[in-house]
Amino acid sequence: MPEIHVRLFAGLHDLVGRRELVLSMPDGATIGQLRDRLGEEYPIVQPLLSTLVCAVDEEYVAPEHVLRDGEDVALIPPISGGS
Amino acid sequence: MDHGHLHIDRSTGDIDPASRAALRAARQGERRPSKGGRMPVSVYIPTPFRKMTGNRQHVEAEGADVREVLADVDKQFPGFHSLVFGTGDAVPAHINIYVNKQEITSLDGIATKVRDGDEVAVIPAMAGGAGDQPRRRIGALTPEQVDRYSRHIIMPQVGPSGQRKIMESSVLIIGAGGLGSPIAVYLALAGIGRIGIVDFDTVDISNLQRQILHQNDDIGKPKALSAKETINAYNPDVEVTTHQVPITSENALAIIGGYDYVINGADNFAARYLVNDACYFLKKPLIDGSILLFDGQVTVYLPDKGCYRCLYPSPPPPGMVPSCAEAGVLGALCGTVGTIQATEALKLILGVGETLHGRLLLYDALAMEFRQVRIRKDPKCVLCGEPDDPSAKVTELIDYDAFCGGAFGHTNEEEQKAADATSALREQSKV
Repeated sequence: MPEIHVRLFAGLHDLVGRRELVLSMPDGATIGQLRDRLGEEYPIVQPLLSTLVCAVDEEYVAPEHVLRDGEDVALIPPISGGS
Repeated sequence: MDHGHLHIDRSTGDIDPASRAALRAARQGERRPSKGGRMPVSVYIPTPFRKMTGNRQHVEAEGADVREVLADVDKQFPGFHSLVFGTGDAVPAHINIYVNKQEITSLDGIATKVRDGDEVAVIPAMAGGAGDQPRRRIGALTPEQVDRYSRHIIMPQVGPSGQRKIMESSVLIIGAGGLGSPIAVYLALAGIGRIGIVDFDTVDISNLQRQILHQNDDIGKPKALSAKETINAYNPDVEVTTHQVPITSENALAIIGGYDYVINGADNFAARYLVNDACYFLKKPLIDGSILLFDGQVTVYLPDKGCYRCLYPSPPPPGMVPSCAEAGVLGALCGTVGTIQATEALKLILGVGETLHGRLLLYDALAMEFRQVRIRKDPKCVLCGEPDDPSAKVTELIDYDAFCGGAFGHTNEEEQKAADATSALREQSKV
C-alpha cells in the first residue's frame, strides 16, 4: 500500500490541527480518493474538499491522478483575505 | 482608436437640446441622401468582446438604426447582445456606442439611423484593450526624477527606459487595506504614473495594526482618500484616482478597463471571482494575492493563459473560510505578500525576469517556508476554457454574491461577527 505524505496548507491545517500527515492508500488509489479519506478522518474539512487544489511533487494534478509510494501531496484550500 | 471629441457627463447624461440639434444637423450634412432600406455597416468590436466574433476587429451587419445593427450582430454571433447589454435592453452605463465616432446619446440614442459604409463602435467606458487608451507619455526624465529614481535607473534591468515604462503605466489596486497598503506604497515610491484605488470603506482603529496607508489621524476618513494622501505624500508625481464604491458587476468593467494592470487585495471571495472575470473579459494582467492568519498565496494571471477559476472553480461554502476580520491576520504578513505582488507588477511592467505566472506561491509564516505549486490553464474552465457543458460557460459578469452563497462581502452578518469578536476581546482583556 502506497504511503503518501500529505501537507496541509492555510485554513486546512488549522482545521485538522496538523501540518503534515502520512496516509496509507490502497494500490491504484487516486488523489481524489485520498482527499475523500481526509474528509472521513476529519469530517470538519468535508465542506472544503471540493475546493482544494491538489498538487503532487509541487505540480497541480487532476483528481484522477493515481498515487505512487513516496509521493508528496499538497492540499491547498483557497483563502480570501486581503484587508 | 479615436472615440470622437464629444464628452457627455455620464452621471447625468445631460446634453443641451441646442447642441443635440446642431450635432444632428452637422451629421446629416456630411452624409449622402438616404436611399432607405437595410444597408451593411461596419461594426467595430473592441478587444474584450472579440472572443465572440472569432477575434475579428470589424464585422459587417445590416439594419436601419443602431438597434437593428446590433441585433444583426447578435444573430451572426449569438450571445453578443447579452455580453454587451447584460440581461436588459437599455445601453448599460459602462458601454458607449459611437456612430462614425459620435457618441449616440448626442444623436438619437439606440434609434440613431445608420447608412451604408457607416461605422458603429461598441466600447466599454474608459476601456477596451491597451490600444483604446490614451497612454501617458514620459519624455526625458527631469534632473529631480533622475535623482529620485537613481537606485532603479542604475540597475541594468531598469535603466532610464525602464523607469519611463514605470512612469507611463497605470495600476489598479483593489482594496486599500492589508495588501493594498504595501502594494500602493511601493508602487508610489517606484513612480507608477497612475494608481487607482478601489475602496468604499472608512479607516477604523482596528485597521492600524497592519494597514500602513493609514495613520491615527485618518480614523473615520474614507480609505481611498487616506490612501491618496499617503501616496502623494510619498511621491507627488503619482496621479491617484479614487473609486469610493464597492466593486460590482455593474461598474467593474468600466473601472478595470481604465488601467494597464490590476492587483487584487480584495477581502472576500465574491470580489475575487468578480475581479478575475472582469480581468479575463478585458484581457488585463491580474496579480493576485490573499492572506489569512499566518498564510499567504500569490500568483499572476496573464490574459488567455489561465485564471482564478482554473485554480478554484467554485468558492467554498459560506463561512468555511473565514475573513481576516473574523479570524485575524499577522500584520507583518500583509507586508510580505503585498510587496511580492508589487514586485510582480514591476517585473511585468519592465518585462524582466520570471513572474509567478503558472506558479502558485504559498507562504507559511509560522513555518517560515515558501513553497510553490506549478499550475496551469484548465482547458475546461467555465470562464477561459471550453466546459463540457457549453451552457455552463460564463460569458458575462454574473451575480457574485449569489455565486458565493451571499455570505461574503461586507454583509451585516460579517460586520456583526467581527464586532462581536472585538467586544469579546475587550471583555477578556479586562480579566
